[in-house]
Amino acid sequence: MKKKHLKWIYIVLFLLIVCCGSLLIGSYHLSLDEILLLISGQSTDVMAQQVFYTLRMPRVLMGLLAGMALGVAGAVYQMIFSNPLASPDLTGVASGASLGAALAIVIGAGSAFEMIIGSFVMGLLALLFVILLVKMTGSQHATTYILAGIIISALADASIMIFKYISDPLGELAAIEFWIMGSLSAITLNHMLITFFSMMIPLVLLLLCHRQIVMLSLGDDNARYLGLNAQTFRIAVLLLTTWMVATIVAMTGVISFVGLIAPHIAYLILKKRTGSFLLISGCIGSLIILVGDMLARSLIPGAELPLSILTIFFSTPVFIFWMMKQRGRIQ
Amino acid sequence: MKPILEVKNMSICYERIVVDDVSLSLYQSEVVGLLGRNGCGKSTLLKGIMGGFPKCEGQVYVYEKDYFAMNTKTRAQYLSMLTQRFDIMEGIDAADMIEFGSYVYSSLWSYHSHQEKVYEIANAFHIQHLLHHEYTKLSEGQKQLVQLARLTMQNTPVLLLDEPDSALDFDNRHMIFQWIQEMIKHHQKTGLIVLHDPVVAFMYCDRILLMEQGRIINEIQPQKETCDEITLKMQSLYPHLIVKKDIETNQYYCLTK
Repeated sequence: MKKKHLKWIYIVLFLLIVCCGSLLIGSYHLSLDEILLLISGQSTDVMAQQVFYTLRMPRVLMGLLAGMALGVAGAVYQMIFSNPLASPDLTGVASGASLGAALAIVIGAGSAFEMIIGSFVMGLLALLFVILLVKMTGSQHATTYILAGIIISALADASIMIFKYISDPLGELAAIEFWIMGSLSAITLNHMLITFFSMMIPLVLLLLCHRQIVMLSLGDDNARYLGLNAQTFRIAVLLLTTWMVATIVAMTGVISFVGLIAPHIAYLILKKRTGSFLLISGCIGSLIILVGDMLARSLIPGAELPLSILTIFFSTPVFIFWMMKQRGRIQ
Repeated sequence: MKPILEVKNMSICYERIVVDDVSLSLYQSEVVGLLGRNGCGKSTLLKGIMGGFPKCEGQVYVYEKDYFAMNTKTRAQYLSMLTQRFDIMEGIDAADMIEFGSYVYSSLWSYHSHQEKVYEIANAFHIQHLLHHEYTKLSEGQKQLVQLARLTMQNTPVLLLDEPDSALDFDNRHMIFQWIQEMIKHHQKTGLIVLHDPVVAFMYCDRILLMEQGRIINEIQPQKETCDEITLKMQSLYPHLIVKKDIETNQYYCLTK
């Protein structure tokens, strides 16, 4: 069997193992036998059914979806901007979505549905402002997008700081802080289903356009010589990716670094950015979030850590390893 | 005979005039060299022909069709270009790079593997051992060969080649120009090549356009002109150059005064 097929098998197997582990771990412990009974529909334990179907399974599936979306989005951003440090945060979508959620909390529209709508709309608006800024400069270069994204992110972050400053420290402030750090704790079956149907379209389209996305990484001129309208395609890809990321951020809050680190781990494994790179990035993203979520639920008994704390701690050693590999290359 | 590629009154200006009212015509099975000093606008002209400067003046016609009125994909089916630089991220191998040349013939989401064709083309360039090597880790000469293989895959009637022999050793340089001649003569394509070496230009080009400060100042037809006539025309660019031809081998060589 070819090496690359073996790598695929190992990753999928590991993902399945982590999914099973994630289903088992929690404040209400479920055994593997109980899980199998629940999946097959033969369980008679009402409490176990309640925990599994309304809490545990949507949470794990949401972790899978969120990781897939952020991992794929991160890989796409790194290629279309030809920058290994690009991530979904660069176009301001994460900050914009956070601003939407913070706004919903502060004005009292803090129900889950209102926060989701607020995050999604503000996340997309952030991207539209980035595109507008880029058009105003007249330069469609990748660096221009990154600079515009930094500006919009900074504005959104400053606005969030204002909301934090004026919010009630005993209620709203804690809600904003917790949301900004990301979590799967409030995920229900409805959330998971909305996310699934919302992100499937952009995800499938992005996977189908993988070759064109790789061509964008060659630079606008070279992509054009090969027959790809780089400017139009970049905007289309940004819209699809932002739609996907805004959906996730609206549901889970901001899960930091997954979109940045998953493509690097995928590249370390595959040594290529063509072929199955996007999918493997997505799988790695899912692994990071599921492992992070398991630790978030189990490290402190009776409490749950925000997800971003774990993902940032995972990402740091990977980044240090990547920096060490760049020795002599960075000038 | 009608020209395959026609450039009319092209002018490109950024901070200064780089290409100044250039017109040229290329015919089928013709190799045309573009010779000039560094900074005279040769590469900019090629990029302008490819549509790299949307605000430039002038028109480009391919088979009498307005090239700038075509969409990006159709343009890439008529003209392909070998650039001096192709800086990319890690993670793309030589086989992927060659296969990019087939994109112009595919629809947006269809993917047909062209692995056999990639191997066939790589064999012709003797680079089959490089196919699964990381492109960014190849030598400059190897990258050049991969790019030429990619051009073969793209299979356009007009080839624009910007210094195709740069970074190549003697053997590979000879192979490249043999490939260019085969493509153009046997496969009835048309080539516009930016060159620095006048001897190479005399050996391989049917016509040579001399460029200075953004303008085409003269044209040389090595097969139809004497060495003295060629030397005279080259004076404005290379005042110390004397062009000679070895009668026995029919090879050009240059002397300096």
